[in-house]
Amino acid sequence: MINKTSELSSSELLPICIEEVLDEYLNFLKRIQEISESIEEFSRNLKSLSREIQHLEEYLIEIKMIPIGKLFEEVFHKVKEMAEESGKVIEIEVKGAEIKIDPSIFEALSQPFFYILRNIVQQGIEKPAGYIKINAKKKGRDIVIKIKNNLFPPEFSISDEMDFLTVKKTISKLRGTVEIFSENDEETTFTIKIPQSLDVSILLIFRSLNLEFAVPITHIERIVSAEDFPNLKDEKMINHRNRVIPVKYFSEIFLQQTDKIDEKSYIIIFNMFGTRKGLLVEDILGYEEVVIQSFGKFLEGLNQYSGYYVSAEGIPRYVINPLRIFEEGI
Amino acid sequence: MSEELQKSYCVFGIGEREFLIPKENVIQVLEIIRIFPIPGSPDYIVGALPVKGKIIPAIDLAKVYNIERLNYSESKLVVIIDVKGEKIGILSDTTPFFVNFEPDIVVEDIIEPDKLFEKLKVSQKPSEKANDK
Repeated sequence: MINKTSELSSSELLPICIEEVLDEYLNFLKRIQEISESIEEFSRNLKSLSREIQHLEEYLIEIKMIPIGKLFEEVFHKVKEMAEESGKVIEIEVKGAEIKIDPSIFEALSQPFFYILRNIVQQGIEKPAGYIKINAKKKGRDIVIKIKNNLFPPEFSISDEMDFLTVKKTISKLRGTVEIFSENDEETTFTIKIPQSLDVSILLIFRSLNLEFAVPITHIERIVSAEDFPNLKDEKMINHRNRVIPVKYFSEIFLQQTDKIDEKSYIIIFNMFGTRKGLLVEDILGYEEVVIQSFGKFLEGLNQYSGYYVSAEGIPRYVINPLRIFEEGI
Repeated sequence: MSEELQKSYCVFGIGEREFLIPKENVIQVLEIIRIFPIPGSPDYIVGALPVKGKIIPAIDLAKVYNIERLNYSESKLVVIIDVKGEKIGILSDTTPFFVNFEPDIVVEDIIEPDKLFEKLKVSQKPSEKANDK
């Protein structure tokens, strides 16, 4: 083959060359076509995967929840016993028992719900028979439970008010409301409005100068070891995957400490709507799923935090807001 | 002289000074077992006390009124008050006690919880440290 080609003159060689190049070129085009097709397919797969994940998440939330009818049943049992003991006949009608509710809310709702029904039964002394109609409905992210009855008098005795205060307190803790409405002295309606589930956030827990903090994982793209970026100290930026990412030191902006920066730190890379920023922290402790508490009015000026939660060990962890850290001037 | 005319106060001490706060605002007196700093808060907020899954900010009036602590070791007690629906802890160097006063007796160093709250609540300013640089 080599011998043969070497004998060919350049004019003879050219068409072969062109043909080969053309072949290669066509091959190349075909490959590009294939790649673009597989990218398209990959992107389709990715989209369907993300849809699947979303379904899965919704499903997981759904299976965690309990139908509210179970709560009614538990309480009815106790209330009916009480009514029978005092020689009363009570009819209970329920609608919307299939509506599902977060287990933590379910549990917390049990006592106030019992208090309301107990008061209804105990108060209707002069009435030997009556009805309680319960209607649960989903309204946006809330559940509205109406308890209508013809036993409960529109005015309260002191002990009822105490009970009602407890009910109010418990429900407001769940970020819900409770109202009483009386119609022509005959019917009284309690309306309870509560969120269907508590807003749970997934947080990354980290440590800086022996204090613990947390940050929502929403904008976190990846976590890298500071050891891999020896120039970080001088430049306060890293070159990661051909991107220059500015890095802020957590201990410096939050704790005003600059001298003690450990070599074995981590850089949390945030991707905030396409802009990447790094945050250097001393240690990463893990992830946790929690309900974030908001600061009261007294501390709400600390707006570098979006709230806090108290860990199982009783340690407060302040939740930082990454968008605020990287705002100009802070 | 009837008791209804008297007002009850909780008395607590900081350094050599004594302060009074209306009894109706006082929820309890706690011993500080663990207190956690709140980075970024003013220096008079000495930290957060975790209580039942929530935190109560603890303040030191010595920093507010420039009181020197000469013969006192670190405060271990905190008076928890309820003001504007929130709980706040005030450090006390002495064991707090309750007293009654006739309304016409003028007492110094009475703390009005609402005013204290407004005066000491953390302001919304982004950061004072930015100006330091």
